[in-house]
Amino acid sequence: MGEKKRRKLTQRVQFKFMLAFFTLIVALLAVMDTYPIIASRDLVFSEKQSSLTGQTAVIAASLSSLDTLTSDSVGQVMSLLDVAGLERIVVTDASARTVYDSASTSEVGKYALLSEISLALEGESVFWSRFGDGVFTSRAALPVYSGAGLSGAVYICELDTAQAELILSVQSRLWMISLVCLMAAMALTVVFSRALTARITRLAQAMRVVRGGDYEHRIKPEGNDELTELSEEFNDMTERLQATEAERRRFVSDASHELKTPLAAIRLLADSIIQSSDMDEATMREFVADIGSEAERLQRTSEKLLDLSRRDAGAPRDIERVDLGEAAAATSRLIEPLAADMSVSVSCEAEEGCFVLASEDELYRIVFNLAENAVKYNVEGGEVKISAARRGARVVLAVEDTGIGIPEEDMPHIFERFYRVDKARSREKGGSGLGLSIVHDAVVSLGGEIDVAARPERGTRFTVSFPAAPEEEGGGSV
Amino acid sequence: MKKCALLLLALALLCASGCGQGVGEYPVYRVVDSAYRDSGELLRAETLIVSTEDGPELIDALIAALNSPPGDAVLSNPLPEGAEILSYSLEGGLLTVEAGEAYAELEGLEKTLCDCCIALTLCSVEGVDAVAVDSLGRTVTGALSADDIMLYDTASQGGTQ
Repeated sequence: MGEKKRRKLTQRVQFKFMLAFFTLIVALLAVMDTYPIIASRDLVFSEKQSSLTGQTAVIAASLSSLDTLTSDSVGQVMSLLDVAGLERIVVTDASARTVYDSASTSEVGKYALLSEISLALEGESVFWSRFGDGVFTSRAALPVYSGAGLSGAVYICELDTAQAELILSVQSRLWMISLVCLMAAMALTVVFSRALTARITRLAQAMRVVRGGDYEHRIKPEGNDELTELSEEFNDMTERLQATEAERRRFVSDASHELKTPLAAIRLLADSIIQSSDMDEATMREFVADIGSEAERLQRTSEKLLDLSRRDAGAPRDIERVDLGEAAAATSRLIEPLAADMSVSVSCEAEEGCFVLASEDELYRIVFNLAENAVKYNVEGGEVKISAARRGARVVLAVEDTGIGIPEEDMPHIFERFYRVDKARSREKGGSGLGLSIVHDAVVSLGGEIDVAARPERGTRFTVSFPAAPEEEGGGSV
Repeated sequence: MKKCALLLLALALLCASGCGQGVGEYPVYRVVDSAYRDSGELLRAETLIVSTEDGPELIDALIAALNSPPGDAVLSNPLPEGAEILSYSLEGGLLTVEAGEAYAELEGLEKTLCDCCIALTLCSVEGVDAVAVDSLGRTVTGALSADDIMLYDTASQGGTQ
């Protein structure tokens, strides 16, 4: 079982997930905590401006009836006005000398060199407000005009702690609630991210188990999301790996057996010859002939195994336009001697223009293997028919015989490696159980399809179809 | 050893700075331009560094600074052309300055700003309790001390400045 890689905390998916979520939540909470306070503060500013400039205007209007602003006359006017709630009211003459100060009478006569008063004495309406240190500090100033022109300025200041405390209280509560929400959100994030990454970790662990050779290992899919799909795909892949591994083992086992059997027979025959001191020549010749037969079988089996191995490894082949009709005709000629020995007749019908893209050797081997089987597993006086024809965009090869046939239950397995319908008869005929497997793999690798069916009368029909090769440039098919 | 020597040198420098012929810092008051008055300031002091504490020499230096344009671009000299301070006399804590003839024509806030800048600046000198301004042979501004001037609304600080 492979070792789990050790990763830094900051490299883990769980950490990244939590960090992203934490950043998002903090940003959201910051906006939610800041915006209401800013909006409330701006609302208060607006209300202050309206209120204070209004009050300043009332005072300025009241003082405008005075020709000259003196401390007595201004004092009388101010005593009639209801200006509660203001921290300070200062009235100056045109030279900025204080003629009235609500905060202290000792300031009367001094020069009030405040920027607000100077701007008001220049004819401007002044207002500003600031929120800080737990208080709204607001100031306003207006010029005072009398019949003779500018006579002075009025300045007021207000300190509002009530509204400031309210806003600060709301802000404080918002921060408290935000903090609680943040902690709850982070706790949930930890839980969910752990659940998510735990599933990924289990999947990785399962992969390590399978990589170690335990192809029976599966994981239980949880939930119904993408990770579930990943788990199901993993199980499916492992199942295929298990099947492939089983097939490989079976192949190795079968191959070993097929190689071991003729070797054992050769050894037995050789030992018999060696140990028998008075064996007659005829018997010895028979034994030696048997050794030869077994050696040939061993050679055929080795060649076929090598062929399969090369095919599995994807060895390069020379692909060219090959006439399947010619291959069928050549095969029927080649198989004649064998067929004659077994009193089986061979016929061939091949149309012109049955070109396919294939390796010539491979195509000839396909036709030959099918034809050889059709002859070997035939009956005395039987027939073998080979045909090649063009059917639209495909080229079809058919090999049928009047032989012993294949039982229905064996049909699905005959293209499996080392599968034999009748082991005894197959061995007697020199078969290894690999011929049809090689044919099947070769057909599929050339983009074709192979099918087997029982003939209604008796015997078997193999049908192979290939995509037709494109027409050669410059003319029709050869 | 090295540390001790450095410490002694530092102490020596400190003592030298406090001796009779050392450096002094004095305010020279200017008017803040209208565009920059949202900070709440109307007058702001520039620092004049003088190498003397002799009264007359110090007063001369401060008057020279008042007559000169300010170093900060946001400040302006309240004394218009022709209203510069020409001479002064000090008697019993009252410093009377003689200003140019244009000073006599000043009135309203403009005159107030000139009076206050002169008074705040020169009242920082030890021995000067109040400042009066004469022009064209008559008193245009009576005795004015730093206590007669309110630069900030201290009653409504609320943390503002």
